Amino acid sequence: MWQSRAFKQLLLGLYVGLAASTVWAQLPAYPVKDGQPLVLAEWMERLHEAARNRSYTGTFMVQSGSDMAASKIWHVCDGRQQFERIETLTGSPRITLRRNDEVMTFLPERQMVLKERRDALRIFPDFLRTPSQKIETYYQAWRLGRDRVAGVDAEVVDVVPKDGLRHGYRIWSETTTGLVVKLQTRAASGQVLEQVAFTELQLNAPVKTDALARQMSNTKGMRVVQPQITPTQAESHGWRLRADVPGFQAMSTQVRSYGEGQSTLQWIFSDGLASVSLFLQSFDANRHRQEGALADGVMQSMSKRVGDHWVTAMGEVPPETLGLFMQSIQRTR
Amino acid sequence: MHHTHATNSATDASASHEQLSALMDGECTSQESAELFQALAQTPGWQQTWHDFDTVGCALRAHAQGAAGPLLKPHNVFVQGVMDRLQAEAPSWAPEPLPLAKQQALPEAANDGVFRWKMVASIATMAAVVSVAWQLGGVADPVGSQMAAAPKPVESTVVAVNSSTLQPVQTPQGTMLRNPELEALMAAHRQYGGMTALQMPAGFLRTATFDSSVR
Repeated sequence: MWQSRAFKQLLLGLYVGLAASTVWAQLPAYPVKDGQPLVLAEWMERLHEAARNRSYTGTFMVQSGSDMAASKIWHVCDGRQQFERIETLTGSPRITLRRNDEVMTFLPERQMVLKERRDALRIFPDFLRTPSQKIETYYQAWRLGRDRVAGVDAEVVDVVPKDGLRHGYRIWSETTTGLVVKLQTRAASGQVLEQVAFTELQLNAPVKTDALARQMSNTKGMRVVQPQITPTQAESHGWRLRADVPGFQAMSTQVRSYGEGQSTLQWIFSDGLASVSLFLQSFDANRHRQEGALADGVMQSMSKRVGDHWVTAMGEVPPETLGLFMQSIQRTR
Repeated sequence: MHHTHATNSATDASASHEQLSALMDGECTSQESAELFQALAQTPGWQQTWHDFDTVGCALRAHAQGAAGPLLKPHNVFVQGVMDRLQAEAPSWAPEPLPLAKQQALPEAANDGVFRWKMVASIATMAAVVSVAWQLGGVADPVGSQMAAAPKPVESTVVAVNSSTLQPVQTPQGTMLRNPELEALMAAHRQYGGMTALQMPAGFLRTATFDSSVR
């Protein structure tokens, strides 16, 4: 009776009438510590392994701040290679095809294909096994219980930050496979800052690797664009942090080149679950006119001038964390 | 005629709620889900309705779990108020199964690739936000500590906000401020900076859905 459509519609009507002040954060007070603790790094490895030797299709939606969007996904892994196709259902058409860390983004309306390699897709879970990475130092994970998402049973885990420099996460993973079916980024207040969730899911769907591979090689009639990205070291470009921001390790640095001799240095940091990019550019009075902080959903950004350069810190972290980065970044020459 | 029109309007509203409920419960097929999302994207205010349904769903599951399920505890006052009303009212109809929304052509969205960068509300708020303590050489060694110490507040250093690079854009959600420079950097952060353990479960899906980098 509780789950019948008629009952839900009645409840929705009452809710609208009752809850003029009810907001998105009707979820429980955070953190919820009724569950059992678990070893976070091991749990994250299980989530990564979930996609191996599996195929599935589904529909998911992303809620970020006040924005929502939905996509359809096909995924297959034969134990060696992972293939994915993600097709947007809202907004402008876009098809993203992935083979391991190789990503091709098809934009049909513009007859264009963006071809890239994404390092971020292949450093985990090995990164979690390195001695220098102690994710449990900054996060505590708790089992909360069971829930149901997109028609499948899921185990729910709360990942609670141990300080105010990072957000928390609530992760729903399908009980049999460990596949993540819902993920929330949550502020300390319990407010959900961002959510990715399947609304419909078919496990073991008959997705063929060769079909997806053929799609990746079919760029006929499309303009193929490949960004110029070069790995580098921030120190060799005259940058350093005076002091580390607690929990955040430098992961990589790269130079992204644009036309007309312009380039941007991107220095990437991570605490294992959240990341911050420091964008370091030459100061340009025509482009860089706005110092300050801006926010979009879970993403915070902060910009300021440092001598002849323009620094922008950006990440899915509280603004205080970006403030620490901004106070620490300095030129060495 | 007026009554019939009102009834049809109520039926149309119920159709949307019925389909949203099915979508949210994972009871739609893949094709139905795709059609529904494409239709929803054309409906102003559908995000708020989705939020409302999700809240109701959480409340129902929490009530069903009872004492054995502390997983999702909705706001107690809200739930009690709803349950009190339910004691006094009972459902008096059973809606007929309703047809799915037809797939509609997607018009060009005015807000494609627009990120809702929101300026911090006031200078005073900005000062509070960027007030952090950072002590040269004095950052606490986190190893072995139970709780990494939160920074202590100091005077802020970045407060001025110049809105001249922001472009107002009309969207279904209202006037939003668009900053193309920041959008490009955010796309680069999403694509290359997401070096976290969450990138593979969900981060990549998010980027592929919301990515506005390609212009």
